[in-house]
Amino acid sequence: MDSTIKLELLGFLEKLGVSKSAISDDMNLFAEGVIDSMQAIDYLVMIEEKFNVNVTMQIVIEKKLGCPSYMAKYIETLIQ
Amino acid sequence: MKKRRILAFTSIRSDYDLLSPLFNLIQKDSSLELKIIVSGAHLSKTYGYSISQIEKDGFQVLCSIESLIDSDSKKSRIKSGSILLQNAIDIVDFYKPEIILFSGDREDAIVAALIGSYLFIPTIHFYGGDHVIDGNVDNPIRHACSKLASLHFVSHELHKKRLIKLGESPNRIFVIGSIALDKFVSIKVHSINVIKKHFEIANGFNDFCLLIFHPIINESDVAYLHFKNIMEVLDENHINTFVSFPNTDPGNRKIIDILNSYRGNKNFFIYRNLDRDWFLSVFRRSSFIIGNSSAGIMEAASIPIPTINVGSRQIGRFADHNVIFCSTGKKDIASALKKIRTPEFQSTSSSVKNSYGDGTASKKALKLIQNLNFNNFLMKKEDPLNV
Repeated sequence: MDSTIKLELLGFLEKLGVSKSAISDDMNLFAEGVIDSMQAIDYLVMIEEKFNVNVTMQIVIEKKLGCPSYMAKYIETLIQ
Repeated sequence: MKKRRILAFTSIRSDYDLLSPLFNLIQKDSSLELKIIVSGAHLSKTYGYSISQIEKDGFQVLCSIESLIDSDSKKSRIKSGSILLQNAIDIVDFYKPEIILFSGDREDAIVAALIGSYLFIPTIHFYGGDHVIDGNVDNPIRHACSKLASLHFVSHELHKKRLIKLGESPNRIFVIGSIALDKFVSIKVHSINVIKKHFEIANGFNDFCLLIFHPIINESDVAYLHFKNIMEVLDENHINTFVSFPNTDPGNRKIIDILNSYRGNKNFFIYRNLDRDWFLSVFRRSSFIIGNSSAGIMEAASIPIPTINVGSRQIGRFADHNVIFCSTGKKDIASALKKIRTPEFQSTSSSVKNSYGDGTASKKALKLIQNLNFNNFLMKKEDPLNV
């Protein structure tokens, strides 16, 4: 999946020090400990600021949004 | 659903502004309940009676504790702190908050940190890990607060490093940025004409600066002379200036005397206390800030405007390239004033990006508060030798 939103998300992660090449399409960044708790918060706040959506940690866990592809789909649904 | 009880301490307007954007977000979250213990200068008419702003902002005051000993003596601050401590213990114990929030380095911060520690209530210290080498008592008090706190929400990566050096465990420290900057990004700024109309300023003030100067304990006998020098330099250069009253620290009386001697001078608009919205409009419309307030170090870069920091207060604190530090002599102050007006400095200053954050700190703090299990951080068992 190469949506614009997903590319934005990967850009956010790169800003947080996570290399794009280190992320596979189905990797759950939160569950697999790729990002720490502060990076997770930074990531979610970047998403909220950029897309003007509300993404709580509870939703992230329930919908497995730690995976950038899932997160991109979720945001697409919200902003449609 | 049972709400999570959060208790915050605040004793002075400047520190309230450091947390109020977060209070707003907490207030909007239906799973959280916020109450505030208000004390110190907030309840003093001399310093603007800013508890009325807290009430106007819609926050629930759990209790107002009249603690300020309004004196110029060195004993006054610690006596004020002890009054607050005595009165707050039973109130906190009765309310039984699940988290206590406090910021900075003043008496209410150390009191909140002590109460949280002894009553086994998790605490979050905001703005810890900062360091100033002016010798003021605030600095070791800030570090003492950090040692007592369960968690640290800090405004700069360097502050995290310093806390780790102080023996704090990295998993207790979160770099969120400065919450004070959040309103800088979001607030609607009034035009200069609207500002002039609001403050009933008839002439001039189309171009102005902001002066905020506070005494520090170890210079309390001479601070007024430093302030006088700044006022004279600004007056001699015919610079329109919004001038704030100093804080409540020893040495402030003589500064107020100097201030009062300038009443009627059309170069100066003197104020005791401004609503945060008006203060931010004045600040953002200022062509520079002068004095020794942390606003010059931590907030001016978000506008961005140049800062002249006069004297030893704030020295040691990380500052972006918009800041010039100068001594308290008139010659040095005049020289700094000349320098910030050069095209080179204006260019440097206008391209500065604030290292203290991007205006999203309160959102980050809220998400952490919503998601952290605070009881995991309550017991501080770590050996600093192993951190």
